[in-house]
Amino acid sequence: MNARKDKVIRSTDVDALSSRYFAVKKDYIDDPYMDIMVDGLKELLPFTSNINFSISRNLKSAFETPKLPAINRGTYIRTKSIDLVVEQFLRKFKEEPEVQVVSIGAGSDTRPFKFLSLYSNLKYFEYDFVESVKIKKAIILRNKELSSIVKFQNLNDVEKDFSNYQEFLRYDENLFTPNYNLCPIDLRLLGDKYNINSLQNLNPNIPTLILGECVLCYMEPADANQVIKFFHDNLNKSSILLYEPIGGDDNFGNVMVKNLSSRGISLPNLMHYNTLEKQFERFTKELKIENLQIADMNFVLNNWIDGDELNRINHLEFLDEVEEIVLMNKHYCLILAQWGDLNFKPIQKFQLVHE
Amino acid sequence: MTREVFNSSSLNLDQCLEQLYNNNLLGEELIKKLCFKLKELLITESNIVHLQTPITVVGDIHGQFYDLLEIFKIGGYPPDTNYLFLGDYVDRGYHSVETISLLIVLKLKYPNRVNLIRGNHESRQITTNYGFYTECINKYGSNSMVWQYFTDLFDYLILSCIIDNSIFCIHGGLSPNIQTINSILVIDRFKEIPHDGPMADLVWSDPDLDLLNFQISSRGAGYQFGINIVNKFLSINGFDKILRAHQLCNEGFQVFWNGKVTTVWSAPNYCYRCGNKASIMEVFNSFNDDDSYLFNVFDASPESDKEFRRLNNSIFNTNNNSGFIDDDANNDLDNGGSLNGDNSYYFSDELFFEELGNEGESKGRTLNRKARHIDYFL
Repeated sequence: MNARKDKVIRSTDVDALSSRYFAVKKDYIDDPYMDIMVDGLKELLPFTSNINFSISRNLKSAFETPKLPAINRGTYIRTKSIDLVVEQFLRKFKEEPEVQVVSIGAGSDTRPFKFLSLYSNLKYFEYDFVESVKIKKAIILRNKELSSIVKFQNLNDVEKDFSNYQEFLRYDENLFTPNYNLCPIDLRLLGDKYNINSLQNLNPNIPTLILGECVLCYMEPADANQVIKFFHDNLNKSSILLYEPIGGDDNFGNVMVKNLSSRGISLPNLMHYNTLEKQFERFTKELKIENLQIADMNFVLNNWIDGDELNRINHLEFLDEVEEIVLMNKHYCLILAQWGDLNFKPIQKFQLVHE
Repeated sequence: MTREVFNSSSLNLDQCLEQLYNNNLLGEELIKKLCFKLKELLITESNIVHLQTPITVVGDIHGQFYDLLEIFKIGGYPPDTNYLFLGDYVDRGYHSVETISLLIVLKLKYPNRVNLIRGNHESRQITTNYGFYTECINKYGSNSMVWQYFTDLFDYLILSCIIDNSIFCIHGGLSPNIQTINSILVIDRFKEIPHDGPMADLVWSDPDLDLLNFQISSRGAGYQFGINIVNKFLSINGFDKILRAHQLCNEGFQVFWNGKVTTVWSAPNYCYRCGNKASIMEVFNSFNDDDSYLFNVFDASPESDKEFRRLNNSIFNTNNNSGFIDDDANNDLDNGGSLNGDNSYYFSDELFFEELGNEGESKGRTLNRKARHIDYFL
């Protein structure tokens, strides 16, 4: 594993967080935990490296330069659509004694706090690289509200987190509470180094939704598929929701590859599963997962959001180029696959459906 | 690329042109004088200017200076070719200042050969948010008045042109408040583009193949308009077709309703992300047959691509030979030296530096003074 490449992949979480931050600022989405995450990250991220001045200065700028309206709109539909599916899932199974949401590559996502506050039968799992996990754990434990949402019980006995690189290295990386598990897992090692028993407290026999929001795309196709296969083989009543970029068959994907490679970011799946049809076959033919629904983000925007809400977000900012956001949304998709008689039927329509 | 800043106490347009064609910026005093001179000229022009073929029509350029030079290479340099520019000279691209400066000088030097229509980006509000304001500050300093000079000038730009009495040209599209061109003539255009009303609609509206009439636009201003509106407008005013820009076209142009409305788009690989082609429309005559016009389609110029890559040098480049000002080696970063000194042109929003031997790979610290990242959803 290339440590630098992993670092670059981890840095995409800051991109995602800053995109959500500005979308919240402009009222596209509502997130009462955003400032806690951003402030925590700004303070703690510099300690995760032995050279820190650059990180703090550039972190500052990541949260100072607002995103353009097209990006805000794309962040809106990305966040909102995933929330809608998760809500549907939790509502459907709210009479169950226990349900699980497993967020892979969770990074600085604030969904656990939102949903744990609303559903008492929910157990939320977040897996990510150890650096990201340690930061998130420290942010949660430093904050009374978040600690209480995740039912952290030893509030008077919180270990000191870290204020320099050495302490960061020594900081314990796991957080286990009655309703929340935060653990460092290198997803590429699922099935190799990790088996299902390595994922503590994860119950393979209860309804589970796995969330992968722009995570598998950074892996090679074989590694990404192994992750899906791992969960498919080991969880008996489960579904997976992925938000993935797709390269398409126009020039957009080529330009995206070039632009991102100049930042050291590679998306090996982008041109491999580059259309909805190819993603479809990936699941039905390669992974042998039959129950499948896929839609690109334009379809989602036009079919999942009602007229009043659409009107509201369209008037938050002048949009320079409608075509630009249409083009971008065309190159991102939502994939919902399930197995084990989960019988999860969200009311939202998808473009390609296979039962 | 040398970034000389050229100042001259008297207005020598030829010298200005030479500077600009050599990728040099004009000094602030010169910009002030040029804008003043052009305002003097434009104040005498009507909201609608009548032109004749042959003429080459150019769509959105959006600060893509090297692609503007490419347009001149393909279509001919002024005054050899007559040009009508449909607006949106600034924002999004990294060289809005050079682009608008060059067009101003060309208009002053060849007033009858170069025509500049106002686009929705020739506005204070839009340029504050889409890059032009930031670029002005970066290139001229936070105390400069350059953005004010340019945006004051934008208030004077004309709203539309009519070619050979038959081709109606605007930046955006039609308005429910405008049935005949008389309604355009009576507009007081010498102001910031309003949020709504006929002047806003002319620069914001879009045609829509699925519509018959008007519908509120998802852009937040202007309308979407359909075939009935187009037919009525053409018939009442005696026009054959409408030429406009404003909307990104993957192929560089888009033809609606058999040519009744045509979009020309002249910014290839828009925002360095869209991967689209661009075009200029060479209009030879107004007989309105297939030989009357030609779409000259082109990709991003090699210079444009090279310049973009230079500005977005990889963080993995140890060789910071970008020719960019303020090489890292000269900066006292360890003591918190300033990232944005007087010479820096762009904010850096790069997150991670190459660390000194941290992963056993890099050899030296390379701070890259970069343009903002091209955003994707990551």
